[in-house]
Amino acid sequence: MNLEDKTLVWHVDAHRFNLQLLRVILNERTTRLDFGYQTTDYYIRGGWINIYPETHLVTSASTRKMHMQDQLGIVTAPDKFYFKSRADWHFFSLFFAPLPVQDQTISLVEFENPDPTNFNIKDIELRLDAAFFQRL
Amino acid sequence: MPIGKNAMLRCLIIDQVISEHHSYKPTMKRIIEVCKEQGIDVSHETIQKDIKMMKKDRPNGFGAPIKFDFQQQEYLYTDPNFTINGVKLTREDASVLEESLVLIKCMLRTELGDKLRHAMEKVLSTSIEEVDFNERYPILKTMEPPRSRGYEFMDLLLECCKVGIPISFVHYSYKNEVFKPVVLHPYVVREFENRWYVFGYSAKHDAYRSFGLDRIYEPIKLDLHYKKGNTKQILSFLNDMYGVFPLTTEEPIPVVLRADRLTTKFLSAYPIHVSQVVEKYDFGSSKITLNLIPTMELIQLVRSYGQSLKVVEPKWLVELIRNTRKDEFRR
Repeated sequence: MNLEDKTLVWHVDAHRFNLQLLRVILNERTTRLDFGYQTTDYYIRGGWINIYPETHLVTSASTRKMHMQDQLGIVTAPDKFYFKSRADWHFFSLFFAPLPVQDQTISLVEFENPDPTNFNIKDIELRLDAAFFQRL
Repeated sequence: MPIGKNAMLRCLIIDQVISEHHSYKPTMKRIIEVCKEQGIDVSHETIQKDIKMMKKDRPNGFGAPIKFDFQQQEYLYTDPNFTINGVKLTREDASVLEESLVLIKCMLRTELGDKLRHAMEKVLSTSIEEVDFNERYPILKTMEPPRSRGYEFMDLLLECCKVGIPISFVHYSYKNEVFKPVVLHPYVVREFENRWYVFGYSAKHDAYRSFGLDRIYEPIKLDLHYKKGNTKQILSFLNDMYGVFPLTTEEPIPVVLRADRLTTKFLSAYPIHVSQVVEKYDFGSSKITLNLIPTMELIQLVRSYGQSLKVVEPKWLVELIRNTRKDEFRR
């Protein structure tokens, strides 16, 4: 499939603890991942979040790493976005190099050897027949 | 009766022909010719009816002083300065428009509202009557809450409701503290107590749902078959509820409240719903009957009055309010 002038949208329900991956949006220029984050009782005033600049996507459809191009609503390390309470929530998006247009499984990799606090989410299935088309 | 679009067009042509009497003789033949030039096929009788209507006083006509000069066999305005194109606004008209402008400014702070406001300001500016824009304070003031989160999606949502375009967005539930991606076939954008909601068919829930605009993130239009709404259910959402989040029933039911003396006075002045019937008791307290779909907002309203207002029926609603109170104490 050629993505010229087309944008694919997947609704997904993948999460790692209190980080939720909600949507994947793909066009010929970029892959956008929309996330939601809910603070918990674990940290005082909800703690903080950021994203490492080396964050990338890996896909079953290619050996190439899809590097992060940009981010919206979140800062890159070493900066930090501090929450104010244990009930705060946050929506943010990460942009990566465009994925191949085919059925695949992708993984978000913030760290190769992650600890529980890193934003690594594995095995997100993206099937072409499950995608919506964005109306441009 | 309002003047139809076609009749209005013909009236403008008649006005134009009469006003251009220096260039062309304003005859019935000339009026019909100009109509034809503008793609309107019209009979002699229709033009006569239009002229008759134009002569009527406003709002049924334009109060046009049209006379047929039998000697010259032409139409004329007895007041040579008269024209309906650029109708003078009376002081009353201008005042009504000004008041409407205030409301538009408050309620439609969107691109659509801007266009409407701009159009109305143009109308006002063509008025020969003086309109005092330099008032030092407005004489009509509505509540102007600070712009809320999500209001920026208003134009997109209105367009999707109007054209019939499904949307994808991320919704955050304040109560459950989780995010969910949603596909919505939107029908109506509705305001309730200064909060804005979009109502439509949610594919995920396979049901009609309302979503607060403040809890919506990144809506995008989808190239997807649009599921049209059931008009009855949409109207029910708009008319049969106090609020936007229904509890269990889908049809209006009688809800009976008991109000004390003071609350009875307020609720008599500001009814909760159009269906409200107040039966007063001897000492001023009352039984208030509503016929609506019970909502979360109705519960909140009743609770905001404390002991002064209570639900008496249906029993399940009484029970629900009692249990919600217990839950809150636990929290």
